[in-house]
Amino acid sequence: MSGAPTSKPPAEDRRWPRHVYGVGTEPDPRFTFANERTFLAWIRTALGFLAAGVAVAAVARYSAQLSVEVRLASAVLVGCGLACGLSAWVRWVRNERAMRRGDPLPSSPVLLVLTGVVVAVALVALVVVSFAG
Amino acid sequence: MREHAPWDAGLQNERTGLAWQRTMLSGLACSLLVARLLAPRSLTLAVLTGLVALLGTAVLGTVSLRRFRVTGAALHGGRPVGDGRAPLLIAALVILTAAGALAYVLIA
Repeated sequence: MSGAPTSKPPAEDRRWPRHVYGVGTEPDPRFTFANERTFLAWIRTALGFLAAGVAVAAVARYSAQLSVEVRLASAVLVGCGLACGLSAWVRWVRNERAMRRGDPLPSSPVLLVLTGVVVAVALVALVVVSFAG
Repeated sequence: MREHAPWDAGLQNERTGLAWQRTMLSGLACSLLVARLLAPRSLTLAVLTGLVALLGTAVLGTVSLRRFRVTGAALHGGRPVGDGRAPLLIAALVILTAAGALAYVLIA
């Protein structure tokens, strides 16, 4: 295992964005990889939300015109997907910067908001499924 | 072949490469679902969406393979790893997909 810290970046460091790679020192590469995988996991979560939102609208359309509630539910799910996609990038940048500067990893209110929305949507779905047909 | 040899016992680069692959495939599945849903409304739009999805997946596949090789070579050469361009590209694609999904939900 050659997990020793890598040497200082060479003078011609072309990595982007500079406001990430221009500060601090090189972290252990394993942490950089972990940050990248966490970013990708958020991207997949975003895709899951998008698929769920589109599916809700598509299934509802089989039987009737879309009602306001269905449209709202779909839009909320898609909105969560959008928030996940945006915050995936923001979190990646903030985490990478914090690791380079030796700061503690930042927290984000997005987690709480997403959890709240998922619980709310699940409760609504439970009620709808329980009283359907 | 040097860059294909694992750098560490934790297989960091390989695991991250696989994470890229499953993210890419999730994106493809998502886009093909949208294409299928568009089919009854407009076959042209559906075929176009499907083609764009396949093309986008091919591009991302190339990008992630390149990332895997460049990162592997950097690890073996003792150079620093990481770059924000590929993550930004994939985040931008997801945001674009979200805009399309929002349009579908609001207009459908």
